Amino acid sequence: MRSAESPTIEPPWTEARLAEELREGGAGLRWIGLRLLDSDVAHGDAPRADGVVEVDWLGRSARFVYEYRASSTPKALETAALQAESYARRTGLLPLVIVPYLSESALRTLEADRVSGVDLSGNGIILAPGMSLWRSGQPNRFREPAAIRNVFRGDSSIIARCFLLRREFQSLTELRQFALDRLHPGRSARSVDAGAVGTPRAEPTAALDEAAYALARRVTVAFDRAALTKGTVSKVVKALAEERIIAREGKASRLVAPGELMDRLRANMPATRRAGIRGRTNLATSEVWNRLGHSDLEYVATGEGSAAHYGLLSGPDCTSLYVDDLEDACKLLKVRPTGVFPNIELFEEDGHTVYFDTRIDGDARWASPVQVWLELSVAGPREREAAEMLATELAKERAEAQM
Amino acid sequence: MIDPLLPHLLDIVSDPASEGLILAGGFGIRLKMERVRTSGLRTLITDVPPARATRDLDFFLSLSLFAHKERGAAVRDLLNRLGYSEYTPNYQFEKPLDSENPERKVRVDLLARPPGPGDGIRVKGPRVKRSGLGLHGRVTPEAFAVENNPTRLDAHGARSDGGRAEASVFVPHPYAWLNMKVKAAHDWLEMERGKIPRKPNSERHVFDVYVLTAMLTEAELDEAAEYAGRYADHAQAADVRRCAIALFGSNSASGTLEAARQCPGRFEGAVFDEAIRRALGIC
Repeated sequence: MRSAESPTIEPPWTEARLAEELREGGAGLRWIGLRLLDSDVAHGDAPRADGVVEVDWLGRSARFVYEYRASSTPKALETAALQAESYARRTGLLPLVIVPYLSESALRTLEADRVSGVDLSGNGIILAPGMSLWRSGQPNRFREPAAIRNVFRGDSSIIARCFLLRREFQSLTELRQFALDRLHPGRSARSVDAGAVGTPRAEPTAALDEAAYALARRVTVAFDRAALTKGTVSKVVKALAEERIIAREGKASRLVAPGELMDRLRANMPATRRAGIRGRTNLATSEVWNRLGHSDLEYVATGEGSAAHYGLLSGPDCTSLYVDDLEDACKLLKVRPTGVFPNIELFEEDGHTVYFDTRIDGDARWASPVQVWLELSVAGPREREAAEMLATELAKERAEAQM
Repeated sequence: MIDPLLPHLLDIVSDPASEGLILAGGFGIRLKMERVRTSGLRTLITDVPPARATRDLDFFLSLSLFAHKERGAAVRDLLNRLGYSEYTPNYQFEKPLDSENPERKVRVDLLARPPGPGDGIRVKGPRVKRSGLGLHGRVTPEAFAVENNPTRLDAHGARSDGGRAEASVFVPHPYAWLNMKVKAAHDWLEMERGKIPRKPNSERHVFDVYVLTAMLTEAELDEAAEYAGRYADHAQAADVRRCAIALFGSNSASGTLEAARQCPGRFEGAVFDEAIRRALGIC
């Protein structure tokens, strides 16, 4: 049995399911007592409204023409409200939107637009002559569409992160190239430096070596491009526009809600890191970087481990790194596992996200400021304070980058 | 730091006669914990459980106080001036904690490490003493290292007369302190096993071992390991190592279980085990 505190998470209803629930007084709509009078309403040649409902409240009643959307995104809500207002003008009824979930800010938007709205989770605003009802605070009972969720997770989140580094892109191609250029800068730097990827790094001395290096480089580039296909970039941009996080003007895309974007990236951060190890190494930090720089390991300091590099926190007690092969890294850096004053911690990450926008300083690799912000913003109070400072810096840099 | 014992400590340590006193026991641990809390030092275990309250001031007397008679006499004179009366002649003293609660006493216990052959100090029964001094220290064999590199802590606040004191106090080096506390914790184990009569609150010594270990800095742990090497052949150090193994030698050992019981939700067994082995030189 599920408790009241952990509501059922379900997929959004279809229009038919909504009509059925309205007839029977469905779960999230009971508080208001909506009564379905008609569904799929035609009015001349105009598009058909989803239905007409009546609200009875303390002896007063009002009739609404409603527009339903199975998505709760700001864009879906906006178009539904416009549609409902259009029906209302033609029918003389009041406009109402119905969506799976209305947040406080969505309710405020509807209030400002003088459009009523109810959700399937138990929230809503009803505005009618002699009637003004507001109900909020009920949790979202409905799952975000996977397409939206994924925009802020894993490799797709790289596109979203790009907008925190630069506010505007003139085309999807420009955005994709911006992302690809920053996907594995450490690897690119090494390739330029040594001719290709290899362990240990060595100058190609024979034609065979050069061919192998060139092949490895081509494979790497192909791997990177596969992670961020044109299709992926297009889907992410579409979803971000749907969420009103970016605005699209022709081919160009511009960040309009940086706070919302950061909130969503943070909310979709993995709760735990992948496999890791804490221990001690007798190597000096400079030697740790040197060895990593001369290996074929992918590596970067974690966000928290990079905070001192950006002058946000005092130097860490422990070198904290993401690596793409934990076992190899432990051997290379002679790490002895221990919880007693560990001076190094390694986490295995073989995706692209943590390596995106790595900042290179000799052999040292520091996490992107976006990754630093994300990790600090979910850590302790001191770290969260530092994250606030970094967010301000990021905003300044974005503004300057566009000037 | 707000503690009814602090003014009494400041009365003593703000007087020049206190040179040569080393504060151990529960109040010493409280002071050290305060230092850890305010300094932001990196300690072995970050989430250190709060130290227990106490009404005793346990001071180790440096053997130099016996060697230089006038310095020992100054300590006794200080206790007399502060209004302490003898609870046990010459080595336990007490006075009311405050005038409003005369029945609540603050007690000063004096202890001393066992003198070596070259120290020229006499031990009679349980006491280290020098005739005519009026100041004895209860001999504590496991405190063999207590005078090695004690840690200086700041102590400031109001004395019992209301005057402001900015003083410092020495507490034992963690190596010496752990030796003492492990031995005391082992007494608790012997009580649990019915080998010696029970004393109330003895289990607190197990907690103190954990807290002292948790508060170790990296430098202190390195120093402790060095001391452990230096005292590897010392009979008392060997006995303490044996006691530590009996107490904390496995996850199911009585000391380990008791420490975990007293630190619910914050006991870091693996880290504690590795550190205490290193600090005491247990292979």
